[in-house]
Amino acid sequence: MAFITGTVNSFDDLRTALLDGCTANGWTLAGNVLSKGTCFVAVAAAAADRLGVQGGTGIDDTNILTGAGPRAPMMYASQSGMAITWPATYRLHVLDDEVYLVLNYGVGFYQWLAFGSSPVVGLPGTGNWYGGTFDSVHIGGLPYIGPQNGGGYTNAGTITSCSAALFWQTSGWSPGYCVNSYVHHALTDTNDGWSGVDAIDVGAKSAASAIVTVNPLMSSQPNAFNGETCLLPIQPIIYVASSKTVMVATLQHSRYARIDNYAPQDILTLGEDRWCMYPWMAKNASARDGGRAVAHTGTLGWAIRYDGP
Amino acid sequence: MAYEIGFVDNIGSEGLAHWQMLAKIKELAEANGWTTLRYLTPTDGTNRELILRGPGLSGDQQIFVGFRTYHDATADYYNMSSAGFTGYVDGNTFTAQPGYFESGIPAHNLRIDYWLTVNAQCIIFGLKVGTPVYEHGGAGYFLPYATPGQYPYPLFVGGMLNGVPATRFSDTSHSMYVKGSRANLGMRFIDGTWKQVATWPWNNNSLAQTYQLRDTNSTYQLLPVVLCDGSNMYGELDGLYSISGFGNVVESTLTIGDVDYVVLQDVGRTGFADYYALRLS
Repeated sequence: MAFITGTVNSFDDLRTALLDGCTANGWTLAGNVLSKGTCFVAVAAAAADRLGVQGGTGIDDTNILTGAGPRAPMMYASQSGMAITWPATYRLHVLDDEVYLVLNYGVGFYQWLAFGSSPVVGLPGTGNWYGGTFDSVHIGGLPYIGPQNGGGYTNAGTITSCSAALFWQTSGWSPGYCVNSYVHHALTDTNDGWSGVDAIDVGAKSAASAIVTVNPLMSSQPNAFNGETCLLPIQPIIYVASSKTVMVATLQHSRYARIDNYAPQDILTLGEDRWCMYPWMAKNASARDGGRAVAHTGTLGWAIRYDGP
Repeated sequence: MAYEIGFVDNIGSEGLAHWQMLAKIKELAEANGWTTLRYLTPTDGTNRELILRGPGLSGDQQIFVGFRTYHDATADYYNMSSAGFTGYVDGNTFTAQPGYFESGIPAHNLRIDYWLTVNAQCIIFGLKVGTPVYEHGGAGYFLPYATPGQYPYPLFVGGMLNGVPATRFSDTSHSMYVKGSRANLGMRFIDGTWKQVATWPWNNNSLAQTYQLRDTNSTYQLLPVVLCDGSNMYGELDGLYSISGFGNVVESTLTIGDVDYVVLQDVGRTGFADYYALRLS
């Protein structure tokens, strides 16, 4: 496991740092595809204003990703209100079969890309998953996030927003849905076995969501009685027939967290484990529940296992 | 956790099944580090009482719990109870012990099949009685999300009834403490009060309410039982896990790693969110 940090001046530089950090720590690069075990992730050449990842289930003879997931979530430089300014600091966590890349810019802003393989026991699919701050189809829009909901898109109203958080999908508006996280479960053939790009409760094409599994716990944090923040597992589910849900992944090295009592990048030590606390996009303690189309994510954040100094 | 699976009936040494069950709890608790402070075994039909002190997982704790029987032959109910205290006073009655909280558990005078687990900090059991239905009890420390300094005495008491009413096992309204948000689950808070707390995942809309979690391609995911309310997560029960009722049946067993579990249901209910898995090793 490794923690690598440095300064970059472009998405090209950031992509290089990602690829170098992964290949130095157990991942293989062929063409644009990083792989480890059954996990395959394409990291396409960066554009000036975006860097995305797209998960898959294999690679062909010409080093092209096969079994690709629906979209390629990304970091995006040009969003008004949270535009990336260079140079920026990256923080790369390569943790067994999971990789987390966090970009810190403009002092308090963050974007991220993450991918890995974290299946629950019994899953017929690979359990490969990936995500990023922005959706690659419904690009732009400030985040819509709350303690119990997030995501969505409409081109007719005022909301054009992803949640900016991993597996935080709950909402959507016609005509499309802003989805920034996917997992390969193979419980259905829809989307080649990947979770979908629609609302979370529409059957086989549903998006995967983990925030819905930790309600209402997220709203209760941090604890009033001792001020501590309990880390909540990220275990995405999909909705299936007969009002049932199925757990499809359990992330090993990241947790949901309320960061009211932490500054971004603070280290939380729990026994032998250390966790680095990050906001999803930008911490705002005075509007701790986030909001719709706002340039912050309140005190909603996550903790990534930390293996640094 | 040490465990014992078996049955008691009315032809054992104690004469009535629920009395025999009390003796079983005492026996397994003592074998696992608990000290018996009181064990009263009257034969005139008055309550039998067992009060124990446990050392906790650290070995230096003093955890006070109690179990007793109460019955009325004319009303045909033969019940047990779980209780928790903050100390022990030899001259005090059961209900006058310091920090007392108690919840009744419908049982039986004839055969009771039981699943009893004990470690140094808690005692948990499920009983199969009557028609049959499944009744549940437990007391001891839960696993707090806090340091010992922040939460020095994380005691819970679980039963089936609000207090110790004259409720027979055939009653259809009572429900297991594990589901939370009911008077038969008490959690002693740091201010000395007993809180009636909710439990996750039973308070979650996508896992146990409008939508219910099912298996993942025939593999069942166990979820911890988290004690919580609108402003806090206090901790989780030790040795109990939520498990889906989808395609499941009571008394099923499962093994994860080297650990065995048995699936128990809420009285006579067989819904998708009416089961928990009890760790047996």
